[in-house]
Amino acid sequence: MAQQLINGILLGGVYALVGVGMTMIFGIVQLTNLAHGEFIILAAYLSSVISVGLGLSPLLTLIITVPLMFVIGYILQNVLINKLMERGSEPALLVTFGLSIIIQNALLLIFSADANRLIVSFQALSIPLGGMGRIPVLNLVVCLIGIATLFVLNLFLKKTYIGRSIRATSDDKVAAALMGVNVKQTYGIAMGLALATAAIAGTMVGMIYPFYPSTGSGYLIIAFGVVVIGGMGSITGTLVAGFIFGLAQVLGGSNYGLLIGYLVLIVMLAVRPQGLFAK
Amino acid sequence: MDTLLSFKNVDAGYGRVKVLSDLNFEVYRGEVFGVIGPNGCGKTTMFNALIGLIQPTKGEIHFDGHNITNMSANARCNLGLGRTYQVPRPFENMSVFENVLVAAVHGAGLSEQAARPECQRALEITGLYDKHAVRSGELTLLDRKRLEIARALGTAPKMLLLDEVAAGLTEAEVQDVMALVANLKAEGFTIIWIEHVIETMVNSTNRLMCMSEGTDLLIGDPREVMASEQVEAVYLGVEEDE
Amino acid sequence: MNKTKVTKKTGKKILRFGVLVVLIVLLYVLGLAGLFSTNAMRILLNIALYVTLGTMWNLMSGFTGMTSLGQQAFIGIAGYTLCVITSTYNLPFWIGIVLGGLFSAILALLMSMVLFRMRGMYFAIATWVTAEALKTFFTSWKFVKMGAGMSVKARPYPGVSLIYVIALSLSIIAILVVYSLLKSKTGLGLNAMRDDADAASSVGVNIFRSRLLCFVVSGFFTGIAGAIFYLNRGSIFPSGGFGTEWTVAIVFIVIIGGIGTIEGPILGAIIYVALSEYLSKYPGYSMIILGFIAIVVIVALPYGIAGTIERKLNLTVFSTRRTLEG
Repeated sequence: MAQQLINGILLGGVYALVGVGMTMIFGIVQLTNLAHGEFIILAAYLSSVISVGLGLSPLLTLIITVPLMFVIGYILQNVLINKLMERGSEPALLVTFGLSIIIQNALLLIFSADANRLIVSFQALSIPLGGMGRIPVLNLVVCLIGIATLFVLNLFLKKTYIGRSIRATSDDKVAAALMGVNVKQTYGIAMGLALATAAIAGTMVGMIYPFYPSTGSGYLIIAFGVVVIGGMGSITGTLVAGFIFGLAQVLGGSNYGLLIGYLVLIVMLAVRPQGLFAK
Repeated sequence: MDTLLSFKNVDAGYGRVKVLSDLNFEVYRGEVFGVIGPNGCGKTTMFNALIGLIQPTKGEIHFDGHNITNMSANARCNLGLGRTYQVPRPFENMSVFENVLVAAVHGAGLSEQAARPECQRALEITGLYDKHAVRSGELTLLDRKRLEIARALGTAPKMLLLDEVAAGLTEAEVQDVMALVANLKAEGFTIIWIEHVIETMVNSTNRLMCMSEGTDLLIGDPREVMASEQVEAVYLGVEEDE
Repeated sequence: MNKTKVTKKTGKKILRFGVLVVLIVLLYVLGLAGLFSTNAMRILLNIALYVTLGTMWNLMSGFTGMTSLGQQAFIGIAGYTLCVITSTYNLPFWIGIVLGGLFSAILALLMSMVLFRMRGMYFAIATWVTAEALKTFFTSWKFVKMGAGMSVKARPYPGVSLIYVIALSLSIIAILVVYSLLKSKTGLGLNAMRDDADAASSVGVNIFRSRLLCFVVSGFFTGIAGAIFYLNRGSIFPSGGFGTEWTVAIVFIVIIGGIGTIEGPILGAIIYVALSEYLSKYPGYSMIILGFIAIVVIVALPYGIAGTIERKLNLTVFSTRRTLEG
């Protein structure tokens, strides 16, 4: 029991990271990015290719994958999605759906359906806690990186000029535009940041779980659960929601944990779609 | 006096934002009841609460002998509330005629066949007859405003709710719309009329309500309301920003 | 002058109607007479099923503004119903198909109680999560043999020509149901709702009832189509029956064909099945190419093929427009 609690909490940090990019896009651009899960898995594969090719630790591949995913997000938003958003939210929603299919099948084509995993040197290490169980070092590192990413992102949004203009746009885009904020540019940066978090999330989940081209949709549901429970745009909410989801999954077992998660999600959507931690 | 509509201690708003607080007023059958007040005082919110787009959190609304406080918007329309929107909301992909037909079929409960002459009449009154086949998304603002009224008329209302029909129009267009409203008044509709043009409100309404911060500040004879110091105080300082 | 215009219009109507009837009769006769090859019949059968699926998704997304990404919930439920009825209870397959449709309709009713509190993308995601939840549940439900899947039992097993005739009939009924629904009083309200739901409710349109009707009708027919698909295929697995691939195909069909038009899903289904047949030579690439085509169409032809034709040439086969002249 104590061991499961430890595992659940450690998993929560990663799930918060999985969800934060989705939350940002949902809150700022007002877009449901149905390809978010696929972007996470894409990042995991990128990490795998780079780490094998250059002989780097998966953690070091972030130096390449994070900027790369940022650029992909920025271009995607500027070239495709901004234009579609002018016609309402539905076309953009469906385009992200199309993207998720393309990415998933492209990965399948290139890497086959076999399981893949990112290997690190401290894979099997753990810290004993007397009679309370053990803390796996890998999960601890991954959880801490997740929390640190959220912390840095929060700081960025609060303290920098770009961060402040992102928040202003999310509050009231007309007012922000009048104040001289380039709204489309801001959306591009927000999408870039969201995919940068997806890059980190991809490497993290790739280190603790095996992944296949089709695992993206599972992470999309987790991300969406985090959005719904945490409320969009709330970093604290995201973190708490991540822990709730992590615990639910570990305590409920692999199959029923997921089912319970789904049911909680649907009920939440119906009763309190603005989230538990909405502003 | 025969009361058609009454608001009793109504609170309402959007989510956690309370806009109306303790709003009380009555509208009598056959009168034109004007509503004025500075921007953000809750005039349009009052319409939204009246037609059921938002539910009051406190108080009661009675219309034509029914307690409509918790009724759905379509049920209220069926009872005889016809509303226009300040920013017109036509069904853009439908023709002008189809817009009014929806109202006559669903609002007035007519068959499509029986609705045709009614729609024709509503289009004639509002001066849109020649444009009945035009897709409503292609109309000018003036015609969209007319369509709002035609659609409200299509529902065979006992009471018309006019939300700033003159806003955004040119001087000449305003005269057009005013003449149209005068016509409706002559036809004997009970009307609640929100407008910013003070002069029209004084001359064309039977009674006037000035709202402030979501409540009824003063109700009475239009001239007396306009002359009151309370109303002047509300308008001073907030008015001249348009 | 006016009269000749009217007779000309009626003449056109009769012509269009005649062409349709001849086409439908041909499709039946050629199928029943065994003049189609088995392969042609299989392709036509798939087209008929996808026409039904697309038409029903279109009824929701195109006419009531409820975008469902979880139609596979109905397909899976109905497919499993068919298997359970025929192999667990040894009953005739047609009972399985009918019950499949009914259970899907009931599922739609149950879903509506929770899901109708949501709007827009919340609704879309919730339908999808529901389908995923069902997939997970069926994967661990002993009664339906968990992940091992189930098969359809029927003696004698219906031949492809019979299944083809059933599917063809279903697609015709589905189109007629949607067409007459749109021509009805409710349909007039649906068209208004699609443009502005609040404004529609304030002129008396009962939004809740209209949505419920569309959702249940859509669930019923989607279920029947799913059951027929699995009757043809012979077996079902949770991952396929409740697979997202269904929604991908359906969305592709309606978007390409033209959302909010009756002709759209028909055109879209033909294109989709033809493309899939052609692309099956290139396994692995087909979904990628379909995804690209869908994105290009969303960007370049916002109203799809049928919608663009309707707007540019003012040409429709099934018009639901009303005019003052009648």
